[in-house]
Amino acid sequence: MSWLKNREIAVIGCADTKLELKSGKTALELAGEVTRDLLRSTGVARAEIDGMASTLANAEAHNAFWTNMMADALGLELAWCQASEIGGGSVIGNLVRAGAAIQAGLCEMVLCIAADAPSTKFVTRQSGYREEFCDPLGYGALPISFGLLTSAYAAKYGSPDPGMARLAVAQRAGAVRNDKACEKLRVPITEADYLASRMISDPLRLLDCVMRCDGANACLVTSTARARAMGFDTLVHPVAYREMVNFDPRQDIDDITVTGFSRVGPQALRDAGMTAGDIQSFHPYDDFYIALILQLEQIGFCGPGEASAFLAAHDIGPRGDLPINTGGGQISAGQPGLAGGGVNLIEALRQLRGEAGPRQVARTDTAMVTGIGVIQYARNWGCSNVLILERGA
Amino acid sequence: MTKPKPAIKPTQLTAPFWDAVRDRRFLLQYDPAADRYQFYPRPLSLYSDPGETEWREASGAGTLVACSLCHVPAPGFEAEVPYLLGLVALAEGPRVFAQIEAAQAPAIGTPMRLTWHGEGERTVFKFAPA
Repeated sequence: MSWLKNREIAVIGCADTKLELKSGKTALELAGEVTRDLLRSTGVARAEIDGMASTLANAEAHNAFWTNMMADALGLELAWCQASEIGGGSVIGNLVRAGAAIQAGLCEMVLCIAADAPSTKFVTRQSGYREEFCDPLGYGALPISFGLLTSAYAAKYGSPDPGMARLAVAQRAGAVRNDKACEKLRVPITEADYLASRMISDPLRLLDCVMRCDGANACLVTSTARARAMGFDTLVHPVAYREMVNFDPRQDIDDITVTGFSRVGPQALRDAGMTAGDIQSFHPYDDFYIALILQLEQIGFCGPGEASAFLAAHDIGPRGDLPINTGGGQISAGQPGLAGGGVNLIEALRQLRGEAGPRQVARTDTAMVTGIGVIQYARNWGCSNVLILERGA
Repeated sequence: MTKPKPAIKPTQLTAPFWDAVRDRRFLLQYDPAADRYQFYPRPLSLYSDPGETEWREASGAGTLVACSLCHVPAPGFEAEVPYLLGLVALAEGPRVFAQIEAAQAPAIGTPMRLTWHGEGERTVFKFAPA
């Protein structure tokens, strides 16, 4: 994908709504809100948008015509329109799919949008293995899968609690500095608070878990040439992207803690001509903290079993040497359902654009954003994807 | 309040598995071309093309690979919390998700065996330390 490395695609603006618990709004209303903000902040005329890439929505999952209805609600006439359904990987996946569509000449200006309101309305239903081989045997909720993963990690490497406690404290501090985060979560915590929080699926605690909320996020993607011609000078370029759906389908790897990130993390870094040390801020998809421990180790920030030691040795706050999920991430800002990956992406874009206010990081040349989607049967997760961003010169 | 447990609704593909469960037998799909087993049941073998499979009974022996004490019950399991859930790697290879019967979480790596509970439509499999 030389068009990525050559910085031929640019993000010219981004927006997100306040994250709210039980907002009472529909996903379409939130989509309208974020589109209005994006049009206002970029000054792009709606008629110039000829492509749209959306996520699905838990609140609209009964609607097989979701993206058409969204285009109708937003008043967009589109030459290219798609919804991605790789779960929490969809938001960063859409940014690169938009780039590919522009490169292929299908469209010129793409609205990448994600809106969901699962804390107001949740109509998604699982099927297949989940309905037949998990739920009837006592599988009540996603934290169980991550409790199981944590137990396997702990047996192999020792408890990840020290590293997860550091992440929990740092991300909460980020949410306190982020006025878009859910108000309920904008309260500082200590490592002792984290360790004392009640067990949900032991060894996984309440403060390991993401909280569903309502919200939307969006960005505008076009060719770098077009962005410059339009007069945009603050550009963020996707420079490397790798995606893996259903890693190791034959289950030849006899270790449930080895995820698709062990493949796509090193690949994306190699594509960008970087090592993990070149990443100036890291915005990993965070539904549960054990997923961050595994990403740090498998993308290559540290070796297997070393995440807690790595987190003890590095400052992950906005003034630190490796800022992580500086706006609170999803765990401390809230997870707007299938729009959740945008919490991590928009924060990375804000940081590179220098618009992160009280949590602005010092080094804004590069950032990495990841996605995780779909829980598998007796393994880990179904989609792992990695996006590397660079600020335009 | 305890809700009803979700009913298992076998599909055409999985009906032989659930029929066998009522007889307290645990079936795996076996691919004779690749000499490998798989679980849960899938429409194709994961291990050879074009992917024919046949049913074979599992020995019931395995090893614990993950275990969690669950405080968030599935519908119908409210009265049982907290309960242990685990992943067991069967001697034949595939991993299986099920409740674990033990006073506390056994160590990862503990040898396990399949156990049977209930009758007829309510027959349930679990695993216990061997």
